[in-house]
Amino acid sequence: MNLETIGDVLVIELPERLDAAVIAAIEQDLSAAVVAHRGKALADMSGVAFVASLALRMLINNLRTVEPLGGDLRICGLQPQIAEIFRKSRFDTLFKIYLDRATALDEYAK
Amino acid sequence: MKRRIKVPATWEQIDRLMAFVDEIERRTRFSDEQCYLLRLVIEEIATNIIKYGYANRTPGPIDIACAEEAGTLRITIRDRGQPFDPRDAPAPNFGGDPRDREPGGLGLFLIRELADQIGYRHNPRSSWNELTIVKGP
Repeated sequence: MNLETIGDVLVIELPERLDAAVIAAIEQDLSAAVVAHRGKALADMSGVAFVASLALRMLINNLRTVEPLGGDLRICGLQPQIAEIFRKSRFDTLFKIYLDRATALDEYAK
Repeated sequence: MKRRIKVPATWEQIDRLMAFVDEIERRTRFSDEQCYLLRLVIEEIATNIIKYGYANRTPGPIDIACAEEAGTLRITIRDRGQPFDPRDAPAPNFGGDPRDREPGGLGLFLIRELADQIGYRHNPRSSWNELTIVKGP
């Protein structure tokens, strides 16, 4: 997982496979970074080819944690299969989702 | 083609199960959708068996077989834990807060959405549960 701040947006580049083992390894760091930033966060999922249900849960937990702090967690770069998982689980209704990082950063800047 | 792995139902074995999936992905011609389902099934069902199936008892086996017949993927998962038919699991409450959803429910829902066929049987005499998941080409 790579973390980078672009302007006022914390960009989180998520790893290729969000399975139980990977989530156990990154969950705490991700949550700590999002809470510490307390602002605009963007999960770049362009490199993600697999999400388990735990990964969806991790994302929503972070969104719900950061919202009362005045922050937001948005998502970009979903590969077609991952976009399908978001649709089927209705998680696409819980997040603002953008095609790619540039579009998401533009929207955040508005 | 048929491949099989049998491991004790413990968290330490999850890596071995994922390596089993990697190996199948490398050596077979399943479609991207079939590979995704295979990974999802093994991840979600194995973790459910470890967490709930053998909860409060000595972990028993998880026995997974993966077969290809005329382009169709057939996954069979056997265990001797608490009987549980995933077809009976309620769909997640999409209207409510996702954090309040039943644990394990979302993973099973996704499997039901992606699979073509799901079968389950429990043998009370031997105590084996057998879950079969099928996805065509």
